Amino acid sequence: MSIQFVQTLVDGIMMGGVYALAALGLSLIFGVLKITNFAHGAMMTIGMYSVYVISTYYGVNPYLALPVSILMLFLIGYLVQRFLIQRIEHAPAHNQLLLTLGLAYIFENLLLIIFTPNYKSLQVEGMEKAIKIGGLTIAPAKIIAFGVVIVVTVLVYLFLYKSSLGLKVRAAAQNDDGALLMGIRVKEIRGIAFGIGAVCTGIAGSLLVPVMSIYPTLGEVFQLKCFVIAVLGGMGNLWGALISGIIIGLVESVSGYALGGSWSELLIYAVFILILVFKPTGLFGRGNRRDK
Amino acid sequence: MKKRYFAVSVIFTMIMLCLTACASGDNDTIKIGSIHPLTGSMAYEGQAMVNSQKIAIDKINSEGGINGRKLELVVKDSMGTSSGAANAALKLANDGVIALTGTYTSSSAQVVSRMAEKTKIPFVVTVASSDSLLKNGYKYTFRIQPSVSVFSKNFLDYLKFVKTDDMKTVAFIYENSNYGAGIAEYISDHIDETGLEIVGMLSYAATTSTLSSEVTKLAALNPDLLVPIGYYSDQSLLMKEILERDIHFNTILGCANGAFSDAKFLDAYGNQVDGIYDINYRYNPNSSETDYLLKTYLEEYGVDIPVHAIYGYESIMVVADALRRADTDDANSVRDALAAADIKEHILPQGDIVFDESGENINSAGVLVRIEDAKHVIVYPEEYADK
Amino acid sequence: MINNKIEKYSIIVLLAMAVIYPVFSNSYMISVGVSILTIALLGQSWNLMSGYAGQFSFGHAAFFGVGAYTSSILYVDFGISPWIGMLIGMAMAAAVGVVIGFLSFRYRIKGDFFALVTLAFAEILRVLFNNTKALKGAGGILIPYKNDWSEFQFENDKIFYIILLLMVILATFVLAVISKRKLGICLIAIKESQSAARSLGVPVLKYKLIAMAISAAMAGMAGTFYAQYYGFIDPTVVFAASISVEAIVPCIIGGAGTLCGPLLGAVIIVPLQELSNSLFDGINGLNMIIYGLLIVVFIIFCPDGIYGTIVKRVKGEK
Repeated sequence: MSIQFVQTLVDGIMMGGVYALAALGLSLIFGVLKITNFAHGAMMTIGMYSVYVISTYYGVNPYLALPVSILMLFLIGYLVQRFLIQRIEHAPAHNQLLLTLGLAYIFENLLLIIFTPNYKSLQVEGMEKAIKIGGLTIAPAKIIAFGVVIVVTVLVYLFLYKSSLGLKVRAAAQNDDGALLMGIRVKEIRGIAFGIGAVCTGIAGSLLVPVMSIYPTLGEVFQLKCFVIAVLGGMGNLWGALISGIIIGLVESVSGYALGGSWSELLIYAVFILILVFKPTGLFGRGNRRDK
Repeated sequence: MKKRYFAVSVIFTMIMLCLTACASGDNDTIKIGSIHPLTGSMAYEGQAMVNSQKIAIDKINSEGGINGRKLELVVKDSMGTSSGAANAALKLANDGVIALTGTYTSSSAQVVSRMAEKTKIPFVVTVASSDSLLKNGYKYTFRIQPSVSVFSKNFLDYLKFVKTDDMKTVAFIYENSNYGAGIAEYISDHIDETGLEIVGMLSYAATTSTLSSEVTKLAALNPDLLVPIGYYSDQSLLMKEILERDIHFNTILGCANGAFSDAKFLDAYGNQVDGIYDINYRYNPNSSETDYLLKTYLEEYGVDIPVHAIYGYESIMVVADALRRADTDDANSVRDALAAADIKEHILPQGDIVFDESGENINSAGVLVRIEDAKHVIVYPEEYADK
Repeated sequence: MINNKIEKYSIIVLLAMAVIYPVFSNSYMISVGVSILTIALLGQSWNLMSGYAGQFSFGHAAFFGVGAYTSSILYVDFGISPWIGMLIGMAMAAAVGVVIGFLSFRYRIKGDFFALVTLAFAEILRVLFNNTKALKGAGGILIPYKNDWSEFQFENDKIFYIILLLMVILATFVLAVISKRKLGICLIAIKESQSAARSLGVPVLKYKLIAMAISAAMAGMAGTFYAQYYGFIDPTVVFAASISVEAIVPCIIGGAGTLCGPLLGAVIIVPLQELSNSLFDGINGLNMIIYGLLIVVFIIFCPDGIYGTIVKRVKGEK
């Protein structure tokens, strides 16, 4: 294996980690609420702008701005679920999907009005140069991002499977009425689940601020990729999302190297269709599948 | 029940009346229409264009307007779609504009150009580089800006100032829309003229979130000359990856590169990008209007003017020039005046602005810029070299 | 029977409005009229597949684009009149629809997943057309401008408007016929419960594929019209996700699964969009926020769409 190929693999894994975290939010929201969230990309962009604003306004390191971004995304997610999506719980799938699409338009264009369409970028001091290991080079921002992704995934896992609140979330995901009978406040639990999903997405966005120039519609770039990853991993499956994110990162990176980036998009969607056709529960088989 | 339908029809009719009512404005001003993408992924480019157009309008008005009448810019969002652009163009036509300007995206430009022909209102292209835009035999479309083939010819021409004797191989990395792919393909079809050998043609989607593997590939190819073509966000991402990893390319020559000629690019990377060349839009540094435009733009909008927006400013100046020479201020005489234009005083780095039969600016050209000490310096043509 | 009565009145009123409209319209209003009718046609197409048959498509741009590209390539490269090209384009779009449908239904992809598959197909076609030189690549196709009815080109936009109106009438008529016949009744049965329909002997797969094919052909027809009217297509324009969204929104606003829902939706959404474009010129993005708000408000407060709500109300009153 040539060193370039290894470099391509490493780059793919690093970027795949970020995709995974973004998709994790989507997967979680789908797993618990059975909502295909088209406002996902826009929420990611909100995460980016919140970090950008705090870090430039107060002059702090963008990573220190993360908690504010987390809080904000949680609130947005929670409120959206409680006051909008909750109202159309029993509506047909296309109505729910379209509602989130409408929200995406609103979010994106609010960002446009507030921040103008100008590109914003942040340079983090001391992180201008990549770290060299052997013949490989990796940008520090990407290493940090990958680390954060792992930590957040573990935290979400602990929350869902080791905490009592997490138990309630899972109960609500499996059976609303049953959970309600057990005295779980399902509506609030659902709001919390949506909030946590939004937070994952927002963190993924925040981690990209030192990597890319941001603009109001940037999130759209990640939207479909996130769906692909969430489906590949099995909707609602945490570790599935993480591994699938890395797989998609690798597909993108290797095909970008071999064929050029124009074709990698096509390959990703093709993988998506093949998975849906032949292994609809995702590669790891345990995820929820919507059956109506 | 019938009442309900009556109500619906009444509401509908009212909306329609309202739409037409909005059309009527005062008649003291001369209206010029502007159609650009102001929402969506091209909003930055579109907005910059409108900003510089407004500066031109204000300048003309503060100098007394045209024959004592003020100019007014009527701005519409094309939303980047064909139907959006068509509706905008016809709305403006009904509002009584004497000229349309726009549209940044080539697909919208094609549509506006057709609507201009139908409504017989001249259309001055701010930026839309597609070669096929003027291939229709339309009488009402004029383009100031260098097209894909002009940029490509400039490239083949200016290459001699960049080329060294030991330069043998070239690789292209370009965004895959009509503009990036158009230029890259045109040049590669004519590469024999340059004596260079193509070792790589890498295309990517402008909305990409990473260019790591492309950079790895380029590093492996190690061409003597690297030619990147793309918009601001993707090309600055490319440069970021190259710089982070300390990859050195012998010579980098951008062609109509959205990042390399942008002042923001220099702010972000400073001296690290010294030595990069770009063939691109540029203002004429010797023109008296240039300083005014650069200064006003920075004052009004808080950022340096992106180079493509120069053509927004000039489009208004060209229309104003036609208005001054037109017999009457109806659209048709403005069209005739545009066709007869011969503008000597302008801010573009080219000879007189003169349109040929098809509406193309026959002297349109890009310039060769080199980044030296974190500043853009015009290398060629010499008459526009920075003071 | 109340349903039929309301339907009859609505269609008559809408038709009358559509016919009178061009008489006192200027070029801008005709252009808006064309937008309304394009969206109505796309809406009817979506309505058949998703409103009636219950297969939620989020990728109608795929059929739209295939229709536009087929007729345009045949016209520009082979000199075949777009009228004929349109028919071939409709057949091609239907074929694409059947392929997507077969893959999905055979492997039981449904609901949101079906939506995502159709979306992915539209994206694949966009990337494919964008990067394939033989399909004109990113440069797209320019349709020469002339005034020749045999080549589907008219100087007068009102003729375009009337042709498109006829297309919408045709699509609505097809839908009306289908909904009265066995096919339509079976489709609604499939939508309600697939397994029940199957146990009653309804050939589920076949009927769903027929619905997909007809629906895709309608979208393909809209695609050809779009190419001929606007005179230029490229992959980012005709395979855009925004086209797929435009097919859905009028149905949701007007009422999915009803004959006049999409028509009513188109008549309301497009003028409102134009109005918000004109009123909020100064603040870019506000027009899109209003569009988004409209969608959100309608889905929450009027989930059956305007027409669906009217029908419900009237039924409730009597």
